Amino acid sequence: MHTEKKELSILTQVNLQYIFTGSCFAISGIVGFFDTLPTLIINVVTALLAVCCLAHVMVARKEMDDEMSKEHLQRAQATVLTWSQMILALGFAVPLILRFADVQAQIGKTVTLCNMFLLILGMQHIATGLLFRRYEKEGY
Amino acid sequence: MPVLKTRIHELRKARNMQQLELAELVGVRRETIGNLENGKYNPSLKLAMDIAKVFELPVEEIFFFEGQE
Repeated sequence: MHTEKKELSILTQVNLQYIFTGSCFAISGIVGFFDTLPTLIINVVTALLAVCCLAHVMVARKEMDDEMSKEHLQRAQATVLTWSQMILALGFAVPLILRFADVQAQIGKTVTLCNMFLLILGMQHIATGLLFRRYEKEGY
Repeated sequence: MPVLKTRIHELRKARNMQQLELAELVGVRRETIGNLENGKYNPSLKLAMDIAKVFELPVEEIFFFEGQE
């Protein structure tokens, strides 16, 4: 029987490492705003899924990257870094806006950049993965 | 800005070569050759020279700027 392990393509690696893991981080970040048992369970499950996914990408047989995939990933990361700087700058204004809109009173929790960390990290990962996919498909 | 064009597709077809074969000969992925042929990616000098070596032609006969054919 042919049992050779199939290697993970670059696109699958990026899907798992950035888009899937990023989604897990983002879900953790969102449910982290609520201190209830179900949200705690969701937090643990998403964290475990993210760890399993990253471990799988690390140990699996992988397709070697080449100059185009390296360049596209670097470009996607650089673009996301620029956006992140802008969003973080805006992030300082968000707590003020939320306080003004009385959102914090409604959810019963103080919203700060610190507890938005996982959400921001997740969005960064997702954006990097999606941009990489776009560059691979359409160029830039 | 001038657009870099290539004759890779034409040269490959003339030699009855698949994208994957060329990709393996120059050490890149098949997708990279596809994007090169479609003008969606500009190669490094090393990749351009490796491709030229495969086709046994000077680099400038494979890569050229639009309007300079």
